[in-house]
Amino acid sequence: MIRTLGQRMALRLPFSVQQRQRVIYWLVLLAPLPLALYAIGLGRYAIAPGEVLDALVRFVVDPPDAAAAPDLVYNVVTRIRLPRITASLLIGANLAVTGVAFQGIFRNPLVDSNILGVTSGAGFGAALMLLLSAGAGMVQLSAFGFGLLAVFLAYGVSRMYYSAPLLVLTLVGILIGSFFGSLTSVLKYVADPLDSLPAITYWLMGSLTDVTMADIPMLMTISAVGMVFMWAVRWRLNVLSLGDHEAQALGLNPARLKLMIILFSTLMTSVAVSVGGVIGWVGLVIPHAARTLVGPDHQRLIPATMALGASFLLVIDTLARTLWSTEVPLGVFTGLVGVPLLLAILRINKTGWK
Amino acid sequence: MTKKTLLTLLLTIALFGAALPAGSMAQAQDATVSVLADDTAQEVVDAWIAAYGEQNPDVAFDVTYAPADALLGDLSAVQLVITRDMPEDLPIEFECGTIGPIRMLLPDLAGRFLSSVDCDGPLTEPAASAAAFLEWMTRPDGQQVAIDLGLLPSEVTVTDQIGDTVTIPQPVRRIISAYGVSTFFVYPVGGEDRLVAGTFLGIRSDEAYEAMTRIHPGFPEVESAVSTLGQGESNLEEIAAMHPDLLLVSRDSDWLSAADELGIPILHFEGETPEGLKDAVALLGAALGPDAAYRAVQFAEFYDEVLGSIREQTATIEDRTTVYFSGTNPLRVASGGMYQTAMVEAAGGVSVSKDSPGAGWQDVNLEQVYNWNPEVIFVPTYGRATVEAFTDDPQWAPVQALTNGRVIQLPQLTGPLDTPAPDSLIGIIWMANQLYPGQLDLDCEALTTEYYARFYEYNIIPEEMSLLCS
Amino acid sequence: MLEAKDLHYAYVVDQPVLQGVSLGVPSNTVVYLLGHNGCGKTTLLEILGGVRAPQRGEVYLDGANVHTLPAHLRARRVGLVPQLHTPVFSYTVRELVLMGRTPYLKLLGTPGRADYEIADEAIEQVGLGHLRHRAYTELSGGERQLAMIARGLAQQTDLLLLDEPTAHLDPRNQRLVLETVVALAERSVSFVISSHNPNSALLYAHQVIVMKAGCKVADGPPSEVLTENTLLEAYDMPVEVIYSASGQARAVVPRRSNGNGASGTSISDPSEFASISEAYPGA
Repeated sequence: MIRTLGQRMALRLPFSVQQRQRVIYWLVLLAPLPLALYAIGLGRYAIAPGEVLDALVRFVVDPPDAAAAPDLVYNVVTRIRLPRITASLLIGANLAVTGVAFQGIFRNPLVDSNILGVTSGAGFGAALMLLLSAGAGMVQLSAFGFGLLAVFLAYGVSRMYYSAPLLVLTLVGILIGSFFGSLTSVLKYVADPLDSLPAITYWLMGSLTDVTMADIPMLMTISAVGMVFMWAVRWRLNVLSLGDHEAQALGLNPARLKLMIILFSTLMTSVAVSVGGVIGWVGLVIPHAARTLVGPDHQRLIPATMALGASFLLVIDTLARTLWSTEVPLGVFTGLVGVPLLLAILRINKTGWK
Repeated sequence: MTKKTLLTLLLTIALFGAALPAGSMAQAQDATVSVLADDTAQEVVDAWIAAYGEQNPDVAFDVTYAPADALLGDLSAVQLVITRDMPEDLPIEFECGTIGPIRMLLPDLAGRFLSSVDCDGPLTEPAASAAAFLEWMTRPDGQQVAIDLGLLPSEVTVTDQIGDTVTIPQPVRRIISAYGVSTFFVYPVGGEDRLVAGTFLGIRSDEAYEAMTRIHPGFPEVESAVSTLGQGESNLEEIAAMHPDLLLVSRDSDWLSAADELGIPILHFEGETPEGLKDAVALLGAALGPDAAYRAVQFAEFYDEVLGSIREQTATIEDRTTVYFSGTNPLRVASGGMYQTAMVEAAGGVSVSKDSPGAGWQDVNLEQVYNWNPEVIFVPTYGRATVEAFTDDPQWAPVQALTNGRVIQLPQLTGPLDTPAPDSLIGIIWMANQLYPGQLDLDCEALTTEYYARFYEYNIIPEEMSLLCS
Repeated sequence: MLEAKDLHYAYVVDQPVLQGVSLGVPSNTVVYLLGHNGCGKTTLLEILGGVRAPQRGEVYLDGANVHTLPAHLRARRVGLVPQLHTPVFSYTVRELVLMGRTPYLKLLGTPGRADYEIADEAIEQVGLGHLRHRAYTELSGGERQLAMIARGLAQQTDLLLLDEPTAHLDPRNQRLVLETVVALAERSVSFVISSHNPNSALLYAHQVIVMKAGCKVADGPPSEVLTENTLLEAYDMPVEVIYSASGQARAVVPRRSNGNGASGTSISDPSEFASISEAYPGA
């Protein structure tokens, strides 16, 4: 009988289900902002909240020119913490919303955007450049490009089989992902253990340590475009999740819509991986959590997932960079936090799936 | 011609004719190695001479046996002296000549060669033969003679660095090292002639390769003898085909369970600390014979001397220099348990990351670096590590090490100096001088020359010296 | 209103599923589509609904070719309600019915107040008002079917195609669904219902089309089409039609085989007929 957290909570409190659900929805939606403000005050280099605020205000209103003498506090706030927080918000939102989109079009709550191999492809692209000792820019570009290539291959190959398109797409996607995974293993095998191998392994574990302001424009642009698209098709995702035939009967062109969703998702995931490496779990766990909180209607689910993904990754990255003197790879926390979260959600959501 | 003249001529010719062989005999007399040995060692010395004589028939020996107290009298005409109790300083002085290092022929029998005329150049006869003979006695063939006489064990049992008890038949003639660090242990114990195949950690550039070839002319062949040697994978068939008597591996080699099948004695090494390094060298020394064991002791003493000297001199320094030892990229730092941190502390510095959790290289963010604000940054010689990665990045500018211009890359002659191999001693000396420039009485050039002479038997050349002691 | 001409379709070459089917459906009519398994009923419905394109032939809805219309315009004129399926996500009844408004949404739009009102009205029409906010997955089979029909209604089409809408329903729910359909047909919409149940057709259809092996074998009012001969030919099975005292066909029952082949359990005694009507109220 219980479908969402809102309904559950409504049983114990005097507000109506609708009101409760609306409150939860808006809480989820607005959470990233206060979290980000809190996070920007945290870091290994102690800075008083007042100074943090000063630095932020100055950044927006009156940024100093490059030639001015470096102000350590200002630099820490605006050039180390700010890009990192921005990146974690954007990447978290990206990975989460592409997870939701893929769960919708594949009608399978157990997939995330790597079902078509984009993350594996991007990992391979990065590893290749690291092996060839290329610079950070080339690594990112290569990750981005190979992510797109992997999906292009998966989609193209699956189009050669018309009988059961969804199943074939899933299978081919898994195959392409595995293929690139194996190629990456080959690269790791031939890599120099003192040199490129640690660089590759480190990159594959996912980390936002090296994020600088230079990474933000491309990330922000592609994320913004992608998120606007996802928001625009939120209703259509509801219909797509009924299946191709029904979606067609209701007046949509499922093949074209799916292609566009795959395209935008791939762009978003590729750019996310190229900046932050391989960060697992967000695309799988956050959509489930969001569904438990606000229900399966994508009109609410899409914005909620974006916000929840952003908050999740922000929290995890803040833990990774402040807990100890050395950085903990993000993959440690996403698993440690993600697994119990998913199990708890599955318990709450017992009657949600069939 | 009168009868008298003819007779005089004949006599002269006869005299000359007699003199010539006498002269050549006198020459032959000069190529005879003169040995003065303790009379209690007669049996073995005779056996050695006989065996060596079979392999080298044109070397003649003239042995004199005397009781111990009479051995160290007149050494002026002797090329080789063999005693039970060899003093450090022999009671002889040469204006221009060499007294060789002590060589342990048996655990309780030592030998040294003397040359009264060769100071800087190559040895002349008979000193050259004497030196060759002395080395021969410490090597497998000589060891075999002693084993046959029951004076050396036919097999040696040691405990390696992971606690395995290993029995090694003696003498060890062929060593293969499948661990890039342990290969370097072979040199201080004088075993490089027995090294038939090995992988060398970090010898990458052409310059390093050439330097190593100068130090060990057999290096190129040793390095390429087996196609794949290393922790991750080694070609077992090729290893077996080379018939090694001893295999040196690291604790973590993945292919070891299969190697057990080969029936070759395997020594595991894991020495990530200064103590571990000395133990590793001692372990190998024990496995290779009395002279090797002795050289291992010498190495440990030298190591301790240098470190002790640094420790003493830095004991009075209150404000220890803080050091950030970076890895393959600027935001990676050596953790507390790594050898690099031990080196920094041995050099009298303090590693900023010594309390950081985790083993191995750790990632940090810039905020933490600002927090630590290290005075010196050491950059290793492998990976993509460069000084420019720090100096070109404006984010690093506020750090003390940058403002003071103390971002320094380690020197490298053959392998990297920050691995737990014997050469790291040079690294520690270099570090100490970098951390406290001009404050320490630590003569890098003198110590490096001595190190390479004693433990590589190599005379370091000025270009190499300037690399290491900049 | 609906006109289909000479439809041909084959999933696999040389194995045609539809061989030249033509039919017409007037407005305000309930049409039953009967036929054996694999005779092409579902394929026909999909083609009529514009979801599958025929390999030959055309379908016209009020003069417009269904397959050349843009999808959203087509969806405003004909709706296809599929057999029950397992949903992946637990939408509420309201959310599901609202999806029927998709053809009317602008390019990037979402349902507005008017759409919500139309959806709510459709829910009321099928009598599910009290279940509006329940998860679809928690409904019974009949309720789900009604919800699907409500979605079709929300599409506000002139024609609704229902694929075996009562296949899994008990008699009570079957009646509920079909009575609603008939009532709606009287008001505005035409229905084409595919079914395995000739009895239903007898009770509810204005027009019955029988198919066999991809061809249409009968088309007309139930009293003309539902004869023993036609049904024998269509299902390849002997049946008996039971007539009421006034001569109206009331039930179709299969003849059971019992050795001598003739009589079986056919009921010709009117008194027995009365007890059956008690068993199925409203029948």
